[in-house]
Amino acid sequence: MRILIADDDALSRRILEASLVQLGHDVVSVADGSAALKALSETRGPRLAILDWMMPGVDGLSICRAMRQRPAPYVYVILLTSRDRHEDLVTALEAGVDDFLTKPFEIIELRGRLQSGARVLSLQENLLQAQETLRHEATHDCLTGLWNRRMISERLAQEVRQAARDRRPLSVVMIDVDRFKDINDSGGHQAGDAVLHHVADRLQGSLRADDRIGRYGGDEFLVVLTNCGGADAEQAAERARTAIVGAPVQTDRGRVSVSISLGVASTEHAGHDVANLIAEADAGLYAAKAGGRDQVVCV
Amino acid sequence: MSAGISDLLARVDGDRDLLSGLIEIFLTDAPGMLVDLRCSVERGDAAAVRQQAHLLRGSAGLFGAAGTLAAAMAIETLAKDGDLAAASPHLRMLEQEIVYLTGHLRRVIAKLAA
Repeated sequence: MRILIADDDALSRRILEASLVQLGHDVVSVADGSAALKALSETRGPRLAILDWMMPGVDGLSICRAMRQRPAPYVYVILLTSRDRHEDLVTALEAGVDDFLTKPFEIIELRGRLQSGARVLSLQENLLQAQETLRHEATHDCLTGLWNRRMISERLAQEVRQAARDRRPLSVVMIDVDRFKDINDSGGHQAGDAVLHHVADRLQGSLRADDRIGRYGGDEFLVVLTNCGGADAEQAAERARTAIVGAPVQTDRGRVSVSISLGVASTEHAGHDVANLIAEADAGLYAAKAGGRDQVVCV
Repeated sequence: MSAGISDLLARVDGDRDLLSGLIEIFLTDAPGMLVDLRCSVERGDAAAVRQQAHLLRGSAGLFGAAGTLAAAMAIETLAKDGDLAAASPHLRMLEQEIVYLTGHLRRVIAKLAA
């Protein structure tokens, strides 16, 4: 583990360095509080800090308070104290100190306190990972890995507001896989899943870096094209259509030809209004289906 | 009275190199630390006195030097209470104790090297 030592006492620092190295840790050692703050602010800075309470300038408690005011990552703080001084432990705990180490200490005690610290840090790491997994699951579609309906809808609303402020155009494309029910009926759900996966990948590949895509429904996808008027959006939709129709999907039951129908709507016609944009793109999609599928209709 | 060589070694888990290193740091730093402390006392800077006495006390504690520790602690406490006027006799005591301590530590280093 990488551990920061901040102590203005050269002897105490040297003892800690030697003890930590002996315990197999990687040590960053500084002599004052400002240097400690700097080291802890680095992107992959130490996550465990042993700070001397008394240092000129920025002392151990000030460093600790600064660490507690920032969101992440958590730094586990062990405060060095003296045995014969009645320091105000409550103040230290309120400042966010996790543990104390009284000088002079024995290496076995240091090891024990570091183990507690490592345990807390690992619990916190697990918690953050679980949070991140949940966040991902709440915003992504598990089959295609694209954003789910909630996420793409939120992003659409944000982008429409931004486009209105910037007086820029924005377009949306509503996409539906043609005869998806037939693919499911003849090839089973596995074939259906393979087709959705394939279409999602191809669509994503045909988009610009700033464009957004999400799975909007069972076999429906919604694309948001920022800073893009209706004419450009129609071309983008056409590229997406050809990208799909030109590449059959390999499934367990052989190759399946797939096509998509696309409805395009833009703020130039629908205004900067999410509901209007979706309604017009839906209307375009409906017209594309009615017109024989595998086509783009721009409203 | 200061701790003997076996006692000092026990404090660093028998690490002779570490003990020599620590003593060398102290022998190098202590004279300057004393000068700083005396200047701060004469300037009447209680915060600096408290800090510098604290440092010396830490070293004294490490080397088990009871006399140095007592004198440094007395100064630290006076500085904490803002009563630097009474610090002078303790400062003279501390300087004397540190002379003894550095002599003792030089002998320890010589024995460690032998």
